[in-house]
Amino acid sequence: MEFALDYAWLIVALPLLTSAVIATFAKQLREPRAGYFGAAMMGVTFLLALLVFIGAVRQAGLPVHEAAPAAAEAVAGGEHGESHGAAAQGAAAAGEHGAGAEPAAFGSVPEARPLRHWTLADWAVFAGKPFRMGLMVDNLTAAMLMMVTLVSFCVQLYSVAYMHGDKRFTRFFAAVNLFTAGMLLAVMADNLLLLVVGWELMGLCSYLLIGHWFEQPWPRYGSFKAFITTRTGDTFMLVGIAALYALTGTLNFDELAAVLPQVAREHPAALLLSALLIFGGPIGKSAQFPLHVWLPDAMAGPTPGSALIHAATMVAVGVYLVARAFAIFVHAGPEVMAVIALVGAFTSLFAASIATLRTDIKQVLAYSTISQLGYMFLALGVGSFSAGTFHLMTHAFFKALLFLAAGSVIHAMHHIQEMHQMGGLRKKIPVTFWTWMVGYLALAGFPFTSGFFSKDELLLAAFNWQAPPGWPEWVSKLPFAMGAATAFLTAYYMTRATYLTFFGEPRSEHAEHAHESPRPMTTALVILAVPALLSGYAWAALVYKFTHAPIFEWWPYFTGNPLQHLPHENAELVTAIATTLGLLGIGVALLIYAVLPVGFRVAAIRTLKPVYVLLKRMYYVDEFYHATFVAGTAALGRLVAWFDRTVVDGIVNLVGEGGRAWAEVCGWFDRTFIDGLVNGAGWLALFSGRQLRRLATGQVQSYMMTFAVLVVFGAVAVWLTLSR
Amino acid sequence: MLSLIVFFPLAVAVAMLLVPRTQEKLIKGLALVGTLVPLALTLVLLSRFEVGSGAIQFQEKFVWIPSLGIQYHMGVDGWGITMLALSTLLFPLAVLASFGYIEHRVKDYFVLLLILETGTNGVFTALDFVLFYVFWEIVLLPMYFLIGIWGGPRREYAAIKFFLYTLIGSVIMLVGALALYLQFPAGQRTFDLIELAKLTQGLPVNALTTFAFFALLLGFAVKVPAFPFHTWLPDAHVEAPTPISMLLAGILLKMGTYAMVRISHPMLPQVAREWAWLIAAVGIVGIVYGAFAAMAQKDFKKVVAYSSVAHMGFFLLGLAAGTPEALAGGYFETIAHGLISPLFFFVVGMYYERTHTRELEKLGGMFLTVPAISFVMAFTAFANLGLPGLAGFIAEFFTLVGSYQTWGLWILGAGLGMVIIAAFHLILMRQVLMGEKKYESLPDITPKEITIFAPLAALIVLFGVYPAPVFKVLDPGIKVLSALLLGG
Repeated sequence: MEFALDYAWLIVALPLLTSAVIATFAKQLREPRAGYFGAAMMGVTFLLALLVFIGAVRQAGLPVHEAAPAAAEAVAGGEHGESHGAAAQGAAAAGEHGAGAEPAAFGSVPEARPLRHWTLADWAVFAGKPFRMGLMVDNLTAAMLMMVTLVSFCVQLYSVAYMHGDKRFTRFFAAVNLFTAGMLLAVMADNLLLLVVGWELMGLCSYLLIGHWFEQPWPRYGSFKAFITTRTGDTFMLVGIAALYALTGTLNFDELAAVLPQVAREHPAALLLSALLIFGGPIGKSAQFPLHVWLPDAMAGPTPGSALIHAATMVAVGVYLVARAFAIFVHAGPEVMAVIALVGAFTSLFAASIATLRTDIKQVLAYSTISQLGYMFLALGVGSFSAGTFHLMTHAFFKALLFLAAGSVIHAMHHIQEMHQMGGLRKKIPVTFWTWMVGYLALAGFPFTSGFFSKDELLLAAFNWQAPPGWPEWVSKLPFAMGAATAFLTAYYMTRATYLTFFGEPRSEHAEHAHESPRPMTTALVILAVPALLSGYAWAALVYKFTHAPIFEWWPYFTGNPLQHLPHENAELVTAIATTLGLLGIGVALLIYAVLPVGFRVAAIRTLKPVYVLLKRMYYVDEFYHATFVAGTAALGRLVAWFDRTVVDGIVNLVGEGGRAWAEVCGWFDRTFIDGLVNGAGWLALFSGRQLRRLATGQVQSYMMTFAVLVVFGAVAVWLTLSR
Repeated sequence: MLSLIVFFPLAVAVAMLLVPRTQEKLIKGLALVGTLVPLALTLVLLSRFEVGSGAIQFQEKFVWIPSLGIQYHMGVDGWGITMLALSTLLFPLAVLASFGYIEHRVKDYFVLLLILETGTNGVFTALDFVLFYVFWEIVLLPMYFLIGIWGGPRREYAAIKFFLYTLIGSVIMLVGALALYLQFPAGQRTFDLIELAKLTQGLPVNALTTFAFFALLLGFAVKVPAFPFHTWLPDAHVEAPTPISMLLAGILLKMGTYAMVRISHPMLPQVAREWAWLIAAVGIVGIVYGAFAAMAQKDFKKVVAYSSVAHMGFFLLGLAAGTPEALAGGYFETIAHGLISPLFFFVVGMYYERTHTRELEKLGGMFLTVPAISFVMAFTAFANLGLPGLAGFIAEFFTLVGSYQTWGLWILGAGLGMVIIAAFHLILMRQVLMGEKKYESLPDITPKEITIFAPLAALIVLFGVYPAPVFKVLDPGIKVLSALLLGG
């Protein structure tokens, strides 16, 4: 399988090519061939990515019980000293670079080395110093590649049916493939700049997909909002990257890892600032508070697009960045990590609370996504690299599944998204129902689904977290407390959504006559249901079977980050708490929606009116932004334009008028005095009179001349004064 | 070779004078030849250009007025050849864009256009100040007439404004240069830019050198245009015909930026260091101010014009920072902007020719009416707002990266500008491209228009993905200038 690693760069190139082909031959391909072509190409890409992943797994081997994983890792990495050419971008000479010549910086654990690395040594040059650009594959990347291509494949297969009859069918597939290429590029980037390129490429495609139905107002608004909100975060990130470059002189991850310990000792404050600024990017892209507002409105796009972009992959790239640049954040100090953890924890709870009252099925999932992304930041912030990336993987599978299932529901409901009009769909659309159930249970953290394992691991890390020295003790408790509360709320709102959609009696005509979606859609659902159910369990079980090692050891071992903090204390307690809260959430929701009469809910709303309104209006964040930033920016724009027209141009015109006035004076002088002289002295009159009269004719030349003469005299005068 | 590139268009212009007015086909053909030959010659030069050498290449030196130290001295290094290439590329495209668009006084128009090219090419190759100044002024006149005769309804006001602004600027610049020239005893005096710079770099920072620096800078800043000397630009653009707008944004502004890296900064780096903060402030204010002003405009062309003000702010910021990354990023911006903004003005022109309006409120749903043109518009807008993968991003990214080293968190101001730049482009696209159809059917893109779009788009993508060619050509010059601006 190792040979596949040599061709891993194709994983980026193929979707890019596919997108270009679909865009170029849109007229020839049309519907549905463009869709099948896209899906087929992505299927091939997925198979390649799967081989790469298997290759990586085989090289990594299995963790030996109680032994330091360092030894195995060193062996695995050592085989790849040889050069691999610059196939990556089809460009010329490139040298093998950075495959970890630096000695291990931390104890006995070596830096994680890429399995393959393609570098373009002279992508840019500054005062003789080259700026490198390259692609790489390491274990985390290999896993991400497989996940992204699988989700993208399912989404495209599904979309062939879902987008049937859409007038921009081909455009949709071109955008989805370009988007996937962007994500894969970001995942394979060996430096921050290239990661940002992939990152923004996704931003573009997200804009295109949200605005897919741009004739209608909501997509127009949603696409604009998404781009600007994420751009705001990106700008902070760019400044942060600039600061990082000023400190380290490099943006390559391997070089960064080598120099950061020293930089952290010498310029701790500057590094802290840089890391915080960089975190602005993930806050925007991964929709964390306070820049989360764009994601719910991103649901204006077609549902499969939402599944791919606003659930499984693009929004996760912020998390991926924090993971990939983990060294930056760790070296920047525990305060930065605490900020990440607290932002994540707060966002997860905040968004989960809003999700409890959404009635639009996609909105529930949108807020759920924000909440789950918060979980991932929580995990990374408390130092658990493996829990954050693990949840990133499992969440991608089950959230993509949930979105696609929701799309199938919407399809069956003739584009109605309100859950109050659904009900009883369980029997009408059984495949959708059962696959949804898999996603639902995984998200709710039901025992032995994928979500259960990843959530458990991150809560365990949160439980054992210590706030930075000097911070009050109760802060240490916050991430776990919020995370646990979120676990309860997640189970609650997902049970509510499931019950409202699939159980009870049909509450509308459409629900009454719903039909199962066409074959491509259900096939995609079934394929995704497998990893959603098993991805957590399978990996853990695999390890357990062969090694009898502790059950969670494989993923941390596989992604092996030397900087992470992996506590194992109180594992049973945390599992018990999390499981109990999850089951409790399911129980409470069932009690409220299935057992108790409607009267109870009405009474509850009346009693808790202020809370209800606050949640219903999503804490008024949108209203606040509109009143401040949006209105303020527009007003400032008008002010500047007015200032430009009136003040700046006013001065210019005033000077112009002054010139004209001076010309008038000259003309008057000309008429009264010169002309008087003219009468006396003929030749002088003929000469200067004619010359000067021109000044008053209101023509360009006259003003010009006046100015030129004035300015030359003035400037010469100034210069003469100064040179003395 | 350089002289041929510079004077070939002029020679064709002279030849064209002999062609009768009615022979429009012949005139157009001549114009195309007159601009394509310099392009071909420049490509030959590019292939023979020694990358990595900081020396002046393809020099031509003749005695002109030895008593005053004036020479006919031509030559290019990285700074010059990139601009020369940009200029020779844009002129044929502008000629092409004029076909079918300029229909009255065709002969006069193309004669002036060819003279204009001689002026711009000369500015980027002249290495003697007097020669440089002559070319600098040659540019002024044809531009004045091109706006004043073939422009829109307020063309005379715009033309006068353009003329006065830049004339005052250039006169002040002349005084500054003379002041430096006269600093040295009669035997040493020279107008040779390279020689003069070697002398002036040793001058102390005093009132006179400061005056000379600002006199030079002012002349250049008007051309760039830097805030607050920018108000001629929106007026000139709005009134100018499309091809002239393309040239104005693509090349004429770059004369100012080129002159800064060629004259004011290498000659008086000691003064530039003292006042770098001011130039940085002007740059950042320009970015933010231009962006906000663009957002409030109702005329399509004015939006694009103000976005030029904002983008040129990046150049100034990079120049003021003086680090290799910032200088490279800033100068890259002038190249990127030189490719993107002509395309943007061309897009405005494409819509205008079809709808006869530039008012944003009257445009809408263009994606449905003219999809291909609208694709071009979207591409250009994203390039202009700095989308990664396209040339503008590389420029802005490295300007920021390099400027942080000098200005620290002040560059958050530039960051704010970037957000606003993105915002007004999105507003623009929402207004023009999205929504329901406002025009039932309009003719979509023509082969001629594709011919203009394709080379610019290809270069925008190429430099966005692989900027190495540009950076490598520029690097020796950047190394020297950066050392001057940072050292001491």
